[in-house]
Amino acid sequence: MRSTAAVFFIVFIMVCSACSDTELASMDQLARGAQLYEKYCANCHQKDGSGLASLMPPLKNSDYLKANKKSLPCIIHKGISGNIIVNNKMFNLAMPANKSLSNQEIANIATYVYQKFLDETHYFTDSLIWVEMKECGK
Amino acid sequence: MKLINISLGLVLTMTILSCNENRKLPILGERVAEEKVVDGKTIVDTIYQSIPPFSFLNQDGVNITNASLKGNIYVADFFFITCPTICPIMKREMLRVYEKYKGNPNIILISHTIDPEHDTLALLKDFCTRMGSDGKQWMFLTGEKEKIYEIAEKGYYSTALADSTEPGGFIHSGGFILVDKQQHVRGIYDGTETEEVDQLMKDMDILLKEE
Repeated sequence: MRSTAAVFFIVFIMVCSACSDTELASMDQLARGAQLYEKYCANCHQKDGSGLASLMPPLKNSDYLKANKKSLPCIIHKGISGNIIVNNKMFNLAMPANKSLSNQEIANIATYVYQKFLDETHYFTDSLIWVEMKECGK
Repeated sequence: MKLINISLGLVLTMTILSCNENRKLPILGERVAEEKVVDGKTIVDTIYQSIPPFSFLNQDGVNITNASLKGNIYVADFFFITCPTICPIMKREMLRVYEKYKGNPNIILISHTIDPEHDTLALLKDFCTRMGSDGKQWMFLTGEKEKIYEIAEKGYYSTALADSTEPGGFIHSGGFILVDKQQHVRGIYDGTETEEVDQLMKDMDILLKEE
């Protein structure tokens, strides 16, 4: 019994040490991003990122997001209006700004979107987001 | 003993199933007893509340009144184009209803804008096309703001109001209201909940069988 417990403990230590601090931080960022996504984005873009008909563009496999990796945080902050082409479909409904979200919150959402809907690990870290948001006028 | 249990179970299941098939939907709203004379005899007739008279324009500028919908089962809801909260979820759900009954001549869907100042006919037409609607079976209606708010409350037991403290500037309930061929409200469902909209579609099937 004691030896089983010891084995479990060793495995536990191994699992823990397998994750570096950065990885743990990223997992935390994704979890927070998922919650924020549901609150601020999923109404329109839907939980599964599929969008809505020709009204709300999809995020899932969006060629626009693939081609414009840097612009997502700014879009979340400022909103976007005018015509936009996503996966060969034109969308024109304005997306409202989300001025109440902090840089960190925006980073979490953007990281979640890329990971979940584009299967890309593209971490919007603290330092990166500050530069991008400054360019965005925040 | 086990056999009896099983047969009892079967009978119960069959009874429940047959009840479901013959289930009659309630008529919502007030009712009044009206006396009238038929063939010299006084009889009491129950008058159920029905949708009050209305006249709105659809996205193509066509006038839509009670008469335009009479004889059809219809589902009504309230929305506005720039709504950032529950409308897109409601529209996703209404799209499911539309797709299920597409081409059924007895079913009509009407979505009323509660922001007629912004949602012009041109914008509603664009919205309609983008939803993938043919514009006949699923229509987007507009009219005088007060009239829309009034019918929401008095006809469809719903809330629709301007409220500057709400995101998007309006407050409205997310209900889908099911109306029968005689324009009685037969059910109200939460248009943001998939399970409730599934129930709406089951109830629409019941209404379709009703004379």
